[in-house]
Amino acid sequence: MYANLWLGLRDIWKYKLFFGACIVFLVVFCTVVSIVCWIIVGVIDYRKSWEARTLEIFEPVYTQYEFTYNREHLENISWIYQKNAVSSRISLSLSNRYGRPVYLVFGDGSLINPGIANQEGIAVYAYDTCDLDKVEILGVEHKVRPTLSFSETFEFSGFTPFPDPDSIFVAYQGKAMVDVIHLMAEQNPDRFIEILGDTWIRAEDSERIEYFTKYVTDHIEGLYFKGYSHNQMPKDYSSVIIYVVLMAIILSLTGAVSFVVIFQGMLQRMQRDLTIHLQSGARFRDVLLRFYVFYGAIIGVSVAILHMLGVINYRFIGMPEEYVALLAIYGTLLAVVIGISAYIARALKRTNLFENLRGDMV
Amino acid sequence: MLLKQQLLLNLLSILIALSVLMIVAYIQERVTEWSPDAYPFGMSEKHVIMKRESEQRVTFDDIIDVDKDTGVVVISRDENSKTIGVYDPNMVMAFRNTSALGIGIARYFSYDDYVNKTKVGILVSYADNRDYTSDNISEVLYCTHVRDAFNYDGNTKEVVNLASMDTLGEYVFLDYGDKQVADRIIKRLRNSGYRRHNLMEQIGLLKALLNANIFPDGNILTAGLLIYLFFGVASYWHFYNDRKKISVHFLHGGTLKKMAGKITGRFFGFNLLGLIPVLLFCYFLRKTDYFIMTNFSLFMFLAAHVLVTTLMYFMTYYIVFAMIRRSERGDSYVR
Repeated sequence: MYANLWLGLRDIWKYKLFFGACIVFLVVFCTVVSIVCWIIVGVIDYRKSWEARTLEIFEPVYTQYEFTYNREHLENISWIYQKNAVSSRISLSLSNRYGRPVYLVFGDGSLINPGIANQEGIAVYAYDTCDLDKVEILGVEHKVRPTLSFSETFEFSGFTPFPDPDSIFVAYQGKAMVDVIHLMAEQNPDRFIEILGDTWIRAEDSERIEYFTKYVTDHIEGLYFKGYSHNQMPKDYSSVIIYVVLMAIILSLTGAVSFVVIFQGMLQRMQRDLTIHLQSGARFRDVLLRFYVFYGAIIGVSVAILHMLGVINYRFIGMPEEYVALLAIYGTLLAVVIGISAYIARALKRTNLFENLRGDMV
Repeated sequence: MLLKQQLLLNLLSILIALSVLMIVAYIQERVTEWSPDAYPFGMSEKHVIMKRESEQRVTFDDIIDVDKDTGVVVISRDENSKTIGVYDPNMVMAFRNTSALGIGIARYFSYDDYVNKTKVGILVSYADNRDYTSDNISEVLYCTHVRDAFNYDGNTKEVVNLASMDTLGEYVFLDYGDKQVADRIIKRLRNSGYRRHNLMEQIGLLKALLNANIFPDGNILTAGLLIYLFFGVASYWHFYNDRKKISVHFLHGGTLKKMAGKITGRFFGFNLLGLIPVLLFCYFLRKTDYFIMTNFSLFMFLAAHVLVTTLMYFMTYYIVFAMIRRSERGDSYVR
């Protein structure tokens, strides 16, 4: 058995040029396939993520320079913030006092970070307290709760709204929220408009989104939300998956067939070699072992090189691009493996082995 | 003699045709989407362009009823004019919108503007030139970036209230979320001598390939055409593996012309037959949104494909044949 392993390794040295050519072919082909898949899936996926928002974020449009504030509007709209909706703004005075960004969070803070509980009243949170026990807001001291995890911020598509790990969040909910917004808006009506404009609502809660947009456009004078009803992405995505997977399959087949064509000459030569061994009394599995050492080395070295080049990279395994690229690469290699293994096994299992010895065998 | 392998190579030719077709169709779709005229003013693919074809002039009030006609965007411009008129009740075009500039600093067209026909406008400029006035604009609402959707073709300077213009321009661009309103406006425009107009001709396959660099990664994708090289490589090995047979024929008086004619001719015939599955596949691909090429382009591509593969097949054959002819001892026959 070891002798056969050794013979397989000797084959590699004997046909080193061919061995190298096969590896170069496989590596180049797999790289091309993976690049094409990455680009197409990446572009398509980007456009898809555009549609699949988890949060509805509004783009306010002002049609006035000056605004008026009316407490009635605030009270009519405050129920929105009970759940699935949040608005925030940075408090400049508090930030100055503590030397780190302090955000006022109105409504359901769990949208910003799962560590913020959605509960009545005022609560103060920080990613990292840094020995800051209490924060004084409007003359009342509040204990800082260090329960937030910086890494577990809510999944936003592509941007981090609170990037500073020093951030402190002051969460208001219920009556406390209405009171504090009222206090701010009475001093400056713009604050109320800005808080409305910065509202985020969970995209699945269409009832709140609908009420909110309708109320704002109908009742709040001068504030509108940018409409995008006409500009939805035009393509239908059900066909995309078919397109890309189909393409990966076709590319894999292309690679496999061209490899088989290239490999065929070598295959016939080895087939004759192996047949002579068989007829001289070698065992079938030993002979196959010798062949698979040579041929497995081609596949193995190719995969290793693809790894080293970063074409196969499990780091991006969560991304659909890598799924399709890996599908294509492994599809190519698998088709090659199955095709050639089946070919050689069939040839050596012939009842009349003499046929393998004939020089003009096709 | 070579039939079995030749069929394998024909299969390869079909597969390469399919994969290149998919790459190329994708490139064409992307280039069409990225070309500036595809979606004028950043409108959706539903947009309608109307062009005035009579001398009759229409005013804003003839076409649009501010109270009823919402859910549409109407943009009007004259040929080569740097001023466009905008009616946008749903604030769809408020790109780089006013809120980015801050509250109390800038505003967008409002309902009152359309009713009162105020001469307000948005200026497309690098500099924040709020004191600018002209015949069309007496008050600048804000200055927008030169890459705003209003300036999609680089020819826009002033974006004015459509209601404040005396008459509508030569071209009217319409995009809608509410089909009923859009149909109403189109009907009124039609009655006033406007006709549907298509701004963009379809971008041909070849032009798309040459312009692939207008979308990101387009050039790399075009480089995917290099997959034809793999056909060349495979074809070379195909003949090289059979060099023994070729040299037997050569030693018994086969000339390049005769042998190539026979081998390449058969390949060419099978290649043509192989186009049938490719065409069937195209029929299937048409059901996806990514296959927009015309039948003419498709047939041109397939013709080019057959030509290129056959030529490559012949070239590689020639290389192997020349190799055999050069080796005087005919040792590939013996080994």
